[in-house]
Amino acid sequence: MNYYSTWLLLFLTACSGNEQQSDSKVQNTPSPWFEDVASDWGVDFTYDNGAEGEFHIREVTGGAPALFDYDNDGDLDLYVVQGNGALGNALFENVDGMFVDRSEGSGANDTGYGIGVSTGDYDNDGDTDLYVTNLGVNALLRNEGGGKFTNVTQVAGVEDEGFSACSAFGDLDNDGDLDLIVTKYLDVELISDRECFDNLSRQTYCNPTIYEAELQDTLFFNNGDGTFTDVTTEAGLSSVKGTGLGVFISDLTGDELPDIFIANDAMPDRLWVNQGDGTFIEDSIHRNIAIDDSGIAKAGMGATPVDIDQDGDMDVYVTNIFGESDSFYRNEGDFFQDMTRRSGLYAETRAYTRWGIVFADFDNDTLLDLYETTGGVVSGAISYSSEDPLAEPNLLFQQKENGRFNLIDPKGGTAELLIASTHGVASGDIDGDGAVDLVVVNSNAPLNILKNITKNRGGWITFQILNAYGSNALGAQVDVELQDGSHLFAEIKSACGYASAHDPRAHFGLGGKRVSQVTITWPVGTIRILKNPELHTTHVIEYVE
Amino acid sequence: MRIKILILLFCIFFVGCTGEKGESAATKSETSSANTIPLPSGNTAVEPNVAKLFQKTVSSLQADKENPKLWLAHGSALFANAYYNEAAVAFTQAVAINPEMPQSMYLLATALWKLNKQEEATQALRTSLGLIPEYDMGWRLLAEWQMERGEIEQAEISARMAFELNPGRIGTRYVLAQSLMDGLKYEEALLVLEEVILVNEAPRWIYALASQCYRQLGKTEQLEQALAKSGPPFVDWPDPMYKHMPNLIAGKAEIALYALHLNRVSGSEKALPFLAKANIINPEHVDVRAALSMALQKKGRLGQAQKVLEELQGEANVNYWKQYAGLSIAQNNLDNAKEYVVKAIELDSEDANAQDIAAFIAKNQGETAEAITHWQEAARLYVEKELWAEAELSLAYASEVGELSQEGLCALALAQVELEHIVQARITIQKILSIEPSNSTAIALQSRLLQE
Repeated sequence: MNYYSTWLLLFLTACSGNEQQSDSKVQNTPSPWFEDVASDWGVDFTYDNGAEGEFHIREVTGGAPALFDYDNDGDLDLYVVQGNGALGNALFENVDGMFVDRSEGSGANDTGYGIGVSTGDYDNDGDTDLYVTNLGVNALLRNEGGGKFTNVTQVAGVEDEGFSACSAFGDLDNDGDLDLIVTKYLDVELISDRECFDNLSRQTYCNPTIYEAELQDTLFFNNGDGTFTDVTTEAGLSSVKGTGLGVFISDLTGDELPDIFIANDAMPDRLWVNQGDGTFIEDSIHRNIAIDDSGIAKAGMGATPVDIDQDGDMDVYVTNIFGESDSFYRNEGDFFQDMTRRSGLYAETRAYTRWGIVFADFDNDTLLDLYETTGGVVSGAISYSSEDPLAEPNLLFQQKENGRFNLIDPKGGTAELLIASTHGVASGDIDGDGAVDLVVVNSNAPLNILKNITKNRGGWITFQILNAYGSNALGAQVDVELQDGSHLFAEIKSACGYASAHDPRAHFGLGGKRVSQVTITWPVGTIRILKNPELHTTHVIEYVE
Repeated sequence: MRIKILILLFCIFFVGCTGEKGESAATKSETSSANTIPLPSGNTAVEPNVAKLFQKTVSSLQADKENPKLWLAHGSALFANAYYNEAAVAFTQAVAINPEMPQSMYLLATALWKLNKQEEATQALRTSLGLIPEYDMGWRLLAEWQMERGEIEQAEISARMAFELNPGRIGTRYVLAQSLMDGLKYEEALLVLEEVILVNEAPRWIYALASQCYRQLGKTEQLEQALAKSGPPFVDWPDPMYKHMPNLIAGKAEIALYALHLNRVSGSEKALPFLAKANIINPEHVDVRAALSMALQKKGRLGQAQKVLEELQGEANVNYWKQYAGLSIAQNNLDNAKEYVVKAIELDSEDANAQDIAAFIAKNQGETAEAITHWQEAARLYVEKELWAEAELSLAYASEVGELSQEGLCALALAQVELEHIVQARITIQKILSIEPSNSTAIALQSRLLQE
């Protein structure tokens, strides 16, 4: 047998199965990073997307969690939006490490067709409130304390009826209260009954642009009295329409004003640069963040601000559809540079349709790792599930010292592959063990709570940064200086990735290093410096004038 | 005018037919494990034309399983229709029989890449390039894959190899510049791009790439100029630049799909160049061929439209014969048109659009009764599918040239009621009842009108 024959036999073996999986750039690890403990921790929840074979596009957009401390007892509680059916959204209280379903009677179980959720204390009463995006009327759920929520949508003026996707709170007009941005996916009136087919002539979901149903996104300014005003037009956001999905608020231009980034599906993404006077200018093309470096407008799904290269400014990461890679836009000051190929994330990501994004230092080695949720909208070349042709494994990448990301095998970091159509994912240290855990919401399959079980984790330190009202200070920045002179940066944020709300506390993995100094900068410019903070602790930092 | 209406109607129906699911056709065949002929699994619906293609390639293979060219042909058929897993098996078998066959190795590489088996794909591509080192497109493809994998230095080497072999390819120049940019060699990349920018009008994606270099180098004025020439972002879906078209027939299925998609969504004028490309790369795709012919016909290029049809490869289908009939009408050759539409109806007697075309031809040949029969048959088929507007239109044409049968009148009344054309419905129902006062359909429709 010659060289070719031997080599080909290997191929023949590899190709003979129905399920093919990539094995390139795989980081072989002896132990998994996560284990699903949802049922052990008391959560039995399935997002029902209502699919009945008619391929309504809403079915591939929704399902997301929020990890937040609704009862202010110091641990993370869980909220999950529901899609189809009358059960409504679910609220779980974290009671000594077990989640207890508190939905009934809480007032939080909105029954709209839920897509996503964001968190923030819009009324500055010290309790974290919820904003739920629906196919229909959205819901603002005011946290009254004592485990009770009140639907104040109409009073607050934030119904924003239609096909909303994601939302984010942030103080965009610098008046001390949280404003609200909501992305609009499609004009429901224009979504026709068009049938679309994949390469194998199977009916599937349509590319959204064929409906020609783009919409402007909606911007609400908080009036400070429990109500909001729709300022979309006055602020300049009505100048362009899009197919908005992921959204976040972050200062991307270094002028200490929070900007708005929106991922559009099959259209250029948008960067609304805050002018400081209540208006915004769309500057994505000039800042080189609308499209990838080939000039292609990708199908943006999720988006997150993250300082991947730890240089003190916010980079942007966008997830896209099957066939298109993720986009890692490195912040170069005046513009962004597409670094996806150079980071090793191009070839591996394009093989899936990615949605949710979590950048966190899962192994506490000081380098941010990446977890992505996946779920197809058209079938790919590889079938992972006979039951759900759109199901895919989620992805976990470990960042290495050279800035490259290596795919972890098994995919998603669990011992057994979790194959599902997944959109939302939220992150936070649920069990308080100093490691970031995940909540993953699957369509028509049970939710996963992924407890971080990474072995040989490094040290850690976490900061909860509060504002003058005792709430999480969204937009505050934390600069951790290690003893070797290197820095780790994070921004206090909740809504990012796709449709989900993350624990806004800033978690830092330290490897074996110690912290010499921590600098906290609040959005209003106030700075506080901590020297030699205790490690392996969550520090609650209150605002002091 | 009438011809235009007919073509429009035909277009609508052609569009409706192109994306439908086919019946489950090809199934796994029964052979031994050593050289089992791979086919889509039994529970996968295969488009009927594709199934016929597979039947042919399988039949050839069964006659001579030691012939690597037949494995290559079968693999190509699978690959072209996006059955990459099965294609990889077929190509593997072809190369096992003849390891010196670069085409099979090359296609094996692309199939493996489609399956996200990157290491094996890259290795197979390297092996094929070992057999055909002068194949510049292969080196370019290797460079693209290496770039996607973040293998920056190797990508530049491969891109340079491709460029040295054929510096005339603008796409290769693009890939070389991109590989240099990935290596942060912006000045060098700009030199490569400016060689074409400065001497002629380069494609706008060259300007888009150049703008990245100018930005990095702080050349603001050139940046603005390049941005202006690069135009708006490429928004066509899924891959407007067809970066992967060079992969021989790689992506054939996607290109055909995209061209037909564009034809449906944006019309034939915009789709025409894509249909032309799809037809070149996928000549056996009959729907692409028919759509291309129709697009050419609509542009008034009747000779080219005819030539496209004459160059048919494989089995004609109903869309093909309908287009041939439509083209013959446009060429005022009604006898040919009739012959072709008869073939269309023989293939699918339930195609209402074919009946419409047959009616039009008959009417223009002075065969009024035959025309009415076809239009009434078309209307019956439309009614079955609850396509009320189409049914009403067909019957309107029929009633222009003669009297409808009672069944035809009932179908017309039903369509008018469904379309809420109340006045017209009342007139039609009255007409039916004046001929046959006890007609139950008319009475039911009348009662429905009263209730509504």
